[in-house]
Amino acid sequence: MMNLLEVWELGVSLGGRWVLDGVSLSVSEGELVALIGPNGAGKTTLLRAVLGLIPYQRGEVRVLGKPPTKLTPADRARIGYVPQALQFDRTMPLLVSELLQAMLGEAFSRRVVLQHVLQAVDAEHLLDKEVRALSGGELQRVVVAAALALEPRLLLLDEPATGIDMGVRLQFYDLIEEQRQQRGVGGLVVSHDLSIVSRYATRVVCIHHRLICTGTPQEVLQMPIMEELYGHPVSVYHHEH
Amino acid sequence: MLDWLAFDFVRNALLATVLLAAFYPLMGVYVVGQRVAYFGDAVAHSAFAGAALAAILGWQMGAMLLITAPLFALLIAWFQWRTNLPTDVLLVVAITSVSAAGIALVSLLETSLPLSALLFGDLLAIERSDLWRLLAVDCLGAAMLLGFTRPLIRIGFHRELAQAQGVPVRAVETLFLVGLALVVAVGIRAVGILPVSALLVLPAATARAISRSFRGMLLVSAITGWLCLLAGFGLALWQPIPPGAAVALVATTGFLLTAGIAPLRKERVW
Repeated sequence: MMNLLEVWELGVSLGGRWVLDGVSLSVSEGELVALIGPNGAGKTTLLRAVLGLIPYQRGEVRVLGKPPTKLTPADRARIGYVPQALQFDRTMPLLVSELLQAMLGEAFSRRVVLQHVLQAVDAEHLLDKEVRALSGGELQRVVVAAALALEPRLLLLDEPATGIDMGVRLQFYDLIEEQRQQRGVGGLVVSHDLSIVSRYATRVVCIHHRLICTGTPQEVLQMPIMEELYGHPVSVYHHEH
Repeated sequence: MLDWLAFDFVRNALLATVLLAAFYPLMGVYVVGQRVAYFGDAVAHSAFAGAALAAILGWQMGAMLLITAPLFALLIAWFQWRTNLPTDVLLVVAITSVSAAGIALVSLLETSLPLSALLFGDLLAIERSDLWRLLAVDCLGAAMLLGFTRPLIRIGFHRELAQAQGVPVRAVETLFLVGLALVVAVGIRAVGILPVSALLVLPAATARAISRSFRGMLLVSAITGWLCLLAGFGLALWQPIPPGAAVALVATTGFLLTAGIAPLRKERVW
């Protein structure tokens, strides 16, 4: 199995502080790796370094076999990135269809194609809505739909389901699960929701500036250190459909 | 009334108006979208220094501004990346220093600046060469907007997401700012430093309030721009108000009316 993402001994210093120091992890095809850790542990920083949005000072990163700075636009289309709780401009008039066309390009200019794109996240009714009238969850689904439309090989999701109600959240992760099993998509997902982690992740990596532990969800979530990190006993509820 | 068209300067003034109206309101939609309206205003003020340089070197002002305005835009952009100064502070520093530099240059070298024409434009003094410059910038600007619409929408929606998806964000933003500087530079000759931003931003601001889609905003902004220019120049012919100021006044009135009415309507049409 090919490694879609490899991170060795990553060190990122921001404002004179080592936000990440010696963190290693990998994501191979068909894996959903959950990246967990307390607030401010450096999870988002790791994603941003992996995407080449910020430089790293130590270690090595390979995304689809290349360092982040060497990724071509074609490579980047194969990476589905969904940033944390989308902070977007709510001032400009823009239809969802126009946003999708801008993101996806000429091949997706036809209406039926765009409808199909939104169907994947059960959101075809949003096509003619104004972007500034969408709720956070609806917008997140549109962005996820755009990411999936380009048939990514690697998904990088930063708390993708924050602010979405539980039913839709499970639907969202079921969709990721489907992509993983049917197309061998690999994913690295930052999540605070340990019940989601235990249900969907194939592996868990816990960081707090450094690498704390890694293993299957069952192994990691039962480690005594989790309680210490999160400041309270970690209990996992299983949600049923 | 048609007898007036026999005069070159009237024809030139009319042509300049058409060239401005054809492109400014469209460009304005992108300026509002990228939140660079005040940046454009700062670039307009660099015309003080540009005009002073032109006077000293004996150049045509219009030609000089096409060089100084983009350079000034690049300088501000560079400062913005190098320092983490808030944009508003940086722009006030830029506006005040470049205006002061222009005034100081002129005083030291004992040349004189056509201050009124600089501030409010001089539509009736438009020459053939100004028209060519306007036409060239219109075409260049239209080509830029055609090519950059997709990336600019993506950057405006979420800058970091666009960057992660491979949009060359910094290159697009820089080229857009240079384009904006050129657009502002050619407009100053006709409407002046003060109203040039109004002409650029007000139709788009009006359109923003009553449009649902990006396409709709472009359309409404274009129509609003034409109406404002026609009404503004009509007002300037009727009363002794400089055309630039008259257009700005009409555009402001239109904006206040729509911005006041728009929130009352639930469903936007365009």
